[in-house]
Amino acid sequence: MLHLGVRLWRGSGIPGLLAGGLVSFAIALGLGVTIVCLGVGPAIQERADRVAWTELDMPELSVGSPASLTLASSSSYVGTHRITVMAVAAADSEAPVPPGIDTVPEPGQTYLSPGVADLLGDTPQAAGRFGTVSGVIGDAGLRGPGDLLVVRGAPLVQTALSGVTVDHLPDQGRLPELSNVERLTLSVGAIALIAPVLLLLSIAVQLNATTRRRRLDILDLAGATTRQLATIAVGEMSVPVLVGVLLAVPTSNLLRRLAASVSLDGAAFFVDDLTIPTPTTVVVVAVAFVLCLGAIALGARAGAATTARLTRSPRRWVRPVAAVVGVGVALTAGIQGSDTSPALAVATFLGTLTVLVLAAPPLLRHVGRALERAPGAAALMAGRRLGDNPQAGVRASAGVGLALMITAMFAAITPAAAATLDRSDQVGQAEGTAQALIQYTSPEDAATTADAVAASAGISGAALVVTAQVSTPSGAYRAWIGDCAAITSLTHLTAASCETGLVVGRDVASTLADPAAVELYDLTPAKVRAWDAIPETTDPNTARLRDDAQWQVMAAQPGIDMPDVIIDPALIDLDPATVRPTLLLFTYDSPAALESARTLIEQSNPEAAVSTRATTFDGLSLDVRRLYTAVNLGAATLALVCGAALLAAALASVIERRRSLTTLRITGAPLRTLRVSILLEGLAPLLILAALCAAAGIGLGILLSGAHTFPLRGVVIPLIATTAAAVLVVAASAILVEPLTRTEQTRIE
Amino acid sequence: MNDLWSDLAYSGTAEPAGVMSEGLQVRHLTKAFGNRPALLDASLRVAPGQIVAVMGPSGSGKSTLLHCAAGVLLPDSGTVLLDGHDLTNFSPAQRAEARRTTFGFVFQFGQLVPELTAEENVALPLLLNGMRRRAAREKARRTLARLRAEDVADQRPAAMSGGQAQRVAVARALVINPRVIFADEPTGSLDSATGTAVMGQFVAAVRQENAAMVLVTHDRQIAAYADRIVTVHDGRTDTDRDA
Repeated sequence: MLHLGVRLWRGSGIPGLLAGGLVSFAIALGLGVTIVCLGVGPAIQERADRVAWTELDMPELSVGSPASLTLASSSSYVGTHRITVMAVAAADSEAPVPPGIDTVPEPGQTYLSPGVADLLGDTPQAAGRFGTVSGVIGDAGLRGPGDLLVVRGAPLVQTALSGVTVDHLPDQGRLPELSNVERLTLSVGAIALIAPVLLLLSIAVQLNATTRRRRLDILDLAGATTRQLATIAVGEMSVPVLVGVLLAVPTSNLLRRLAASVSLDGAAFFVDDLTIPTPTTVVVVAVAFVLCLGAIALGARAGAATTARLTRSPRRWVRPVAAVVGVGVALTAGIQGSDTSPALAVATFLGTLTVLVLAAPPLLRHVGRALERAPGAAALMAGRRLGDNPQAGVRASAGVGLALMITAMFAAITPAAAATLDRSDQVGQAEGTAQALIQYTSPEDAATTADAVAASAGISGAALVVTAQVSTPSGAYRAWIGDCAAITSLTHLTAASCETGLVVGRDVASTLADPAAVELYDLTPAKVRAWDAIPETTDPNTARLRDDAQWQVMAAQPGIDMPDVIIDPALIDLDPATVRPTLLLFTYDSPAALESARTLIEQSNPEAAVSTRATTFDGLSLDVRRLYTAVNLGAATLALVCGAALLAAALASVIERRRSLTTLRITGAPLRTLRVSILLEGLAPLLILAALCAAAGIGLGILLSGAHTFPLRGVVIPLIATTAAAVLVVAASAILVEPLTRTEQTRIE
Repeated sequence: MNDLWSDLAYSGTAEPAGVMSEGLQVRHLTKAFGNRPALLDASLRVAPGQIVAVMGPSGSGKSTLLHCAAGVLLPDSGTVLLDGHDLTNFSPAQRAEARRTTFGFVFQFGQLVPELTAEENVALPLLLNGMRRRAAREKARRTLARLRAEDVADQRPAAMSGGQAQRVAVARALVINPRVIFADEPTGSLDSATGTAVMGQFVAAVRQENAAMVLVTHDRQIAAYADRIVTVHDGRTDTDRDA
């Protein structure tokens, strides 16, 4: 029977081969996606394990213990690229060596990840920032390709200032905490990938069933038992299924490369990380093969009863109830606006999708009935088929609809994200101003650095600031102690006046009654508290304002990290030499000047962190960039699957009607009429679903982002492009009418 | 005279002398499918108002002859003349138009479009020829009535009996007032009594239309409705006799 099935498949001609090919394609794609998905979890853990040692979340030993390593972490930037810099100092030769490098670098030596090496190669101003390059960090020490990591040798005394000391490095990392937007993207992405693959499988199987229904009916009439029919069906499908599961392995390899390029938590994946072990792959493929054939056998045994069950419309109450639930969830999300949790957002997405899936068939039925009343034979045939079986139209175009819904949703979120960035003007650090945090630098070294930076090309000014807190009855405010005129100039606080040497924000002014009552605390003592030199002194960390100090109120002005209070050192009752500045402000006139200044600062103060407006908002902009990279890649994969599903459905439609189309051609029906009929049947549901899903996607995007504007421009182009591509796929299927109904091949039966 | 024949003057073919004055003449057709010859030397002539039955054993080439005569298949050699025009010189589009406007077809299993009602199936050729929906449906109703099939006008093929479906198929062939009707085992799927009844109505309608008919059949009883019988054997038409 199996052999007979295989022979029947071989003899089934072009439609059978097409259907078999589509089954193979659908299984290869579906199983390929599954194999890749199986590798994602272990891959995330694997890469977290490799960089676990950079988390500094380890039990600490005494600095300088035998066989110990002291390490400190800081961040550097080139442009908006954030580089993790690990300063390491070995107590002796037995100290543990971080993964990816051969030995612990000596002070002044450094190991760079390939990503950092490329970045420094492209930015001459940053070339010598981390010291003498001793080598490249291997994959064993990186999260993924493009990971930006520097392992820099440093003196123990310096590393100990902010670092930890350990005698072994952890090999189990923490999983990254995903942002809400990343969780939403991953959840929607999973739905977006799985749904069209399932659709494609269902369409391909239906197509295959269509091509063999007649043969199996004949065998049934000839007296074949149900079991024999099932065996024959398995035999017929065994070749396409086998080809599909075998092709799944190379397909997963291709998809894995695509998935590996998706950036998660700031780094892409190594392809090997996403690869599951060969025995697991073999088991998955074997299980998939058996499951597919088992499902086919069960389907064949169940026969028409199964078909009837599967095609039965949902109960009458299901649609309104689902609609009410969907609308309810959407309204809840709408009320919560941009504060909507990812779980609720995904629920809203699924609710909306369910409402669309339930609402589309009745709508298409009405459209079909209207179409069949339009003039012409093509409209009559297309409209009748659409009206009779709107589910088929929905199934064919659902993948494209889903893609459009997701595209529209994210396109609608974009302007809201951009608006968030725009709003940052109200609080953002001024353009062209940089702040270097130099916490572990002596006053003398800080002064030297400030002079060097000020003298650097493209730097128009630099000033050192002592930071402190101001206590008031209503709470603590941040204060900068330094040259008031220089500070207001460098930070572009043009509305502030330094006549009295004391400037306070409007909010602070309302809570300060008497300057004499103001207490300053959290000042940083001048001596740097090195691990081996903790002094037994009474370094001051508090101060008071002079009794005669008078403040001037500073008008509200945009500017992130701007202080609430600016105080001239002459106005406090403290010797300025007893505290040290921890902030270096400077202005730059070009990115190159900024990078040169960063290099200067970080060379002399290795743990300094230089922030600008771009890096302060780096998190948000990177999130948005990562999100859209993932969305674009997902959309490309989705488009591939949806295109295949659409083509499969269109082919199924042609093959299903092959006999009647051929008869019509024999009786002289113009090919154009038949093609128009196929086009109408394919395009009507496609365009209606496209419009519905796009509208739903835009609505969801606006609801979830809390925006109140219609992002027409951002939405129209992707929608038109996707719809046009889908229309082309349907149009391509219409071309197949001619070869599939060629009268000289089919003849009159 | 319809547009097709007017267009043929443009293609250089001689203007026909008169409507179906010469009928359909098939001369010395040969046709092979790959290396397998189906027709070796087949000829056939059918005058207006005449019914010719084509008989012969299975695989003798009857259906291939019918397909070539109707312009469905192109012969390897030979001519198919309709009113002096050679169909083998027509483009595929012209042959399709000839089939749509001039020929009627009846197949063994009816071959109705399953999604359409009987009335819509019959109206379909008229719609394909550009007739308006209302007029086409009215004419389809009248044609169904002629074949006593008006009671199934609103039914779909799946709900019809074999005889009803075949009557609808005959109505579909007749509705365009064809000049030649090609029927391939038109009662082959029906029981004897139903087949005879359908055939009686079919032949009456054909004679009423003064159309020519090429009838492929195994059944001598059905062949008895024809004026002449042509026998095909191994791809050759070797007998042409009165029925």
